[in-house]
Order: sequence, then C-alpha cells, then structure tokens
Amino acid sequence: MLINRNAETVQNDWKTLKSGEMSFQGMKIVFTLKELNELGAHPESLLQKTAGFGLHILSDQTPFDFVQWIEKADLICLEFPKFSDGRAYSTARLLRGRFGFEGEIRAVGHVLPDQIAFMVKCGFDTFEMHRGFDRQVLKHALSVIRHAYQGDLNETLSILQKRHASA
Amino acid sequence: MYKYDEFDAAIVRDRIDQFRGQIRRRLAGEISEDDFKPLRLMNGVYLQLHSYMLRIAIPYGQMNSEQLECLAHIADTYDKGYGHITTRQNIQFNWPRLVDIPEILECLANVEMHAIQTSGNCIRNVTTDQFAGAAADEIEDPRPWCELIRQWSTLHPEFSYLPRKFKIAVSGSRGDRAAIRLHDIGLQIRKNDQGEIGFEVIVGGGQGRTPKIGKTVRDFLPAENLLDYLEAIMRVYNLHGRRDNKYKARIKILVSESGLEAFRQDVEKEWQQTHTTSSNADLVSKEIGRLRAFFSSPLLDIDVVENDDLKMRRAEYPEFDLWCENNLRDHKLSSHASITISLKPVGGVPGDISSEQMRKVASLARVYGYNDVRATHEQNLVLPHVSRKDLFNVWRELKTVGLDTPNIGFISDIIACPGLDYCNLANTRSIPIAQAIANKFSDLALQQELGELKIKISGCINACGHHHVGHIGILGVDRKGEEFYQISLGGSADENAEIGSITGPGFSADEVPDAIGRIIQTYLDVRESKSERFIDTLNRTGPEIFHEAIYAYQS
Repeated sequence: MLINRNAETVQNDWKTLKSGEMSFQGMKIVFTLKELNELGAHPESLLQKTAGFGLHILSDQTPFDFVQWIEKADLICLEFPKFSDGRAYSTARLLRGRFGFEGEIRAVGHVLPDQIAFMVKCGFDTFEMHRGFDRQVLKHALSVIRHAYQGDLNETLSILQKRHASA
Repeated sequence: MYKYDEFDAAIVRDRIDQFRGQIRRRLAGEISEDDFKPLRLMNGVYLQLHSYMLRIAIPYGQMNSEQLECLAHIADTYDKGYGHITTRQNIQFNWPRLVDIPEILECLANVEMHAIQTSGNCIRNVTTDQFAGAAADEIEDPRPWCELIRQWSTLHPEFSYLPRKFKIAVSGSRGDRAAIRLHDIGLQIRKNDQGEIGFEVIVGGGQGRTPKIGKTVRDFLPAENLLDYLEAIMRVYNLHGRRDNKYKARIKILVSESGLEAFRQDVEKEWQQTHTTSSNADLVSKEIGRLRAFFSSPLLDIDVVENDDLKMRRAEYPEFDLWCENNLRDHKLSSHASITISLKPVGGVPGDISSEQMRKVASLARVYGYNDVRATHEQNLVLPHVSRKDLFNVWRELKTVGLDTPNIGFISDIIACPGLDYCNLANTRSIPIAQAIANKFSDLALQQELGELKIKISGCINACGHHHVGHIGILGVDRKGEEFYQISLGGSADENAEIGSITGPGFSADEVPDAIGRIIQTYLDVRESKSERFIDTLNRTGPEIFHEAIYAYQS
C-alpha cells in the first residue's frame, strides 16, 4: 500500500518492467539502472514512449551513478533493503539539495512507520508500506516531534532559524 | 551551564510521547522485538543479561545538583539504589523495568535531561574534558561547541541509521583529557595567528577489534564552518561506510580502506558543495554567541586564600593531606582547585555510585561548587570549581559517604567495563579483575610510590574498558569456556595517543594480579627516578624487559 506525507493512501499507477516486455507504450514505468543499461535505449526515445519515467535505485547506488537520468525522471524510488540501511536518507537529500530533483521520491522496501518522519525531512514524498499498519500510529509518528534542530528541504524553519529569525 | 529554551524542552517531551507509544505497541505485541530494538536503543534502552538497562546522557559530562538528585531519585525508585558512570561520561542504571521507562524519562525531562541517542547506530553523546571551563591550559571552553553539536546531532533525520555508532569528542585545552584521537571524530580547538578560533579535525580513531589512532583531515577549520564540515563527513560516511560487516562498519575502516587522502578529498568536495549551497555558517556564528553566554565563568569568590589555614589542616590531618596531594588539580584561578572524586574505592565496582553518595555530591556542589558536577571518562566525578578555603569541609563531607579515596591516576583508579557480570556481549568478567588488582595494591604508600599508572580492563574484544590505551591494558578472552586475560603495555589516550601492544600468552583470572606485580616491580627496579612515570620508563626502555619479567615465573 502506498501512502503520502499525510498518511493518506494514494493510488500507485506505476508499473515495473516485466522481463522481456517492450510494450510500455503509454505506461508509467519504473526502471532499474540495470534494466536501462540492458535496454540500451536512447533516453529520448524511451521518454517519448512512456507516459511516465521512473527509476528504481538500490541502496548502494548514489546519485553520481545516475546523474544523466535524474532530470528526466518523474519518480525516483529509493530502496531500503533493511530499515537499518540508512543510505537512502542521504541519497534523497542529495537528489533534492544538490541535483534539484523536483519529482516524486518514494521509499520502497523495508520501510517502518516510525521512520517516515525522518524520511519526509530528507525529501521523500511517498512510502510503500508492506505490513498492516495503523493509520493513527502513522499520523502520530509523522506529527509527534514538532520541532527540529536541523534545517530540511520543506521550508520548515529549524530551531536555530527560529531562534535567530529576528536577529 | 546550558538551560533549555522552549524548543529544547519540546523536543525532549515530544520524544517521550513518541517512545511511550512505541513501548505500548511493543508490550501489546504490535511491534516485533527486531523492529523495536533500534527504537529502544536510540532512547537509551538496552536488553542485557539479566534485565533492561537504561543509559542516560550527561551531555559532555556536565550536570547540576538538581540533576544529580534526580538521578539519585531514579536509583532509589526504579533501580537498586545505585548507578554506574560510564566511559562516555554518561550514567547507566542496570535494573529498570521497561514499563517504568517513560516515567523515568519524565523525571529526567523535568530537570532537562534525556536518554536520547545513548545507543544505536547514530551520533552519541558528545564528550569533552572534565575540567572544561576550569583548566589552566584551556585555549577556549569547548562546552558551547559541544552543546551546538548535541543539538545538531539530536534526532538528525539524515544520520540516524548510520553503518554503526558514531562518537565525537572535543578538546579545548593543550593537553587532551577527552581522548579525541580515539573517537570517530575528534575536534581540537586551535587559535590561528589572527587569534581566530578553529578546529583541527581528526577522523577515524577508535578502539574495539581494530584499534586506530585518528588522523587529521584538516589542520584548521574556521569555527563557523563546524556543522557544515561535520555534515560533509557524516554524509560521506553514511553513503560509503561498510554495511556488510558490523565489525568493519566504523568510520575508521572507511578511512583506512579508502586511504586518508581519498577520504579527505571526498569530504572536502562534499563540504565545498554544502558550503556554497546551504551553509549554516551564519547561523552557527549567531547560535554560538547565544550558547557562550550559558557557560561564562561562575562568579568565583577570589578572596585571599587562607593558605596558612589550609597548610595547618593538611599538617593536622595526614589523610586530608594525601587526598589534597592526589585528587586536586590546579584551577585557572589560584584561589580555587578542581576536585576529582574517586569512584574507585578498594574492593568497589569502578564507576558505581550510590544514591546517598549522589545526594552528598549534589549538596556539596550546591554549597561549595557553583552547582557544577562533571562525570569523567575515567569513571570518576569532578567538582571543577572549589575555593581552596572550602577544601577541608568538602573532604570531611565526602569522607562521611566513603568518597574520599585518594587514588586519582593511580594503579587502583582503574577503568573497567561491566563485563560478564552485566553485559551480554562480554566473554569474561572484568569487575572482579579490577577488584583483585585494587586489593593487591591497596597500600596507598605503594600506590603513591608508583605514581601515575593507568590500568584499563575490557571483558571482550569490543574494548569498552579502553584496554588498548591503558598503560597496562587487560583484555578478557574466552578460551574453550575458560576466562583468560591478555596483558598489553604502552597504550595512552592523551595527546600522545598510542595503542598498547600485547605481551604474550594470557593469564587466568587468579594469575593476573601477580603478573601486574611483576610488571610494577620491574618498573621500580629500572626507573631512573621517582619522577619518571611508568609510561615514560616503558617508552625509554622498550617493552622487552617487561615481557621477560611477566613470564619469568614460568622458567
């Protein structure tokens, strides 16, 4: 089930590439870097065919590994192989802050409700939840910590900024 | 010391609300222990051999009397009447119940304390010199910078699921009393030729299975760039630190596998980017100004010291005289002294302190010590600012609760991890070894004769007892179900940091005190004078004659 930053369920109209399938005409497709490589597709022709172009990024891939695709993508899925693998927090942060990516960033894989608040601050928009989850728990998890010492990418003022706003 | 504003208070309160919900879900079976583990760890809750353990942060080792009294209350109400000062200037309680933890955290929040990030793969409590603000050799008080780092690292959204735990230490003095070269990041405050403050940034030190002395990645970082630079280091580590093997996941391994130069370039490149796009330098300058005001020197009463009075007392009370000689340190004001309160009585557990003792220290700090108490990484307490005219009264009061042990820096002032008596990682016991050594060398005259001699004991290879950097280090290893202890020599945690080297085959627990005895006898035999410390003798002669002595009995 896919949810957004407000803990609301959202429709997932993205598809992954089935093996051998080439008829992604008019569809919103998420490609892995390996698939893109194998397809050898010219980016422009690929983009003309698809209705939406997404990337599925593994936790050991950094934005520097797929720079050429970033600005063409509508969606970037960052995979958490285990919830404790925190590389994607930095990857999301770099995508937003350094590469100016404005499309959707989605957390996929082993994503736990208690982690989503940090993910939002690092620039994630949507979250793939696997197990049954309690929406109230999720809402609480998203709102319980009201302030943050660190600046984030959502125009929320950090505590330091609030303290020195008038100075 | 620092006072919370509305934001700091809200963070701590909100965090308790969050954790209370998580505990409720855990107790109701809605979260598995696997999923709960990182949540409880980042709130300081461990599951040990016999019970949960709660580790409470004492930010950079500083607390006031009210806070220490709160810890005494927690010890009495939720634990067995005592707490344990750790090698990271924190305090831990060994017997709390999980259901009581939100209530304990509420008590702590009432006195502006918390247990956030005292465990887990995140940035831990930042540590510093226990004499900060009082030391005569201080370049600049490190505490405002420590507080800045505390806040920046608290609930950091990007750096809470690191490859492994992450420890930062700051030194503001010429002498290093914070072991900064043995931390993931060590920061040494420096002043440049223009009189500006900056940091030497040292990365990749640490103990554990692969001990490393940290390496300097930057000689002088302008102070206002501190957070930007830390962010750059953390990001490089978070993205590239190893996650395939928990024993190779600390930043020291990344630094040694990448090579210092390559690592430095990665960090500098990242920093240049952050620096130009989203620098925190302006905010840091403003915030550090705000923070410095909290750490201004207390109004020390600089009345002319009644030196004659102190001399008279020392002459009259030999025990007081001995304590003055061994437990005092010069203060930047000659009218004052810093007192180290030993938590290493002979036969005691290193670092343990009872609730009664906590209350006594709290009251002494209130009356004589400007409400300021420090926890040290050597597992003692410090009253940093005490007028020399009050020393006798303080000593007399400490004596009533058994806190007058005059052994600071001596052979019985031992660092030891909790070992197999508490810890589920340990292979062997370490507390009984510390007790046996302290008992064997309990004679104070002998201890004094030996002078500074740092023994550090770890009950397993994780090295929580800092054995790598002991002048004499002792490491417990399990050999086919039997406890054995390896002895190493020549370690040091100060500005001349060194990793000790192993002498040879290990000893059984019973043999350790005698082996130590042969080492110190050799020292007494070969030292050039009484003023040549053990470590200096060892460095002059080399370890061979000590090795021979240790194993001499076998031939």
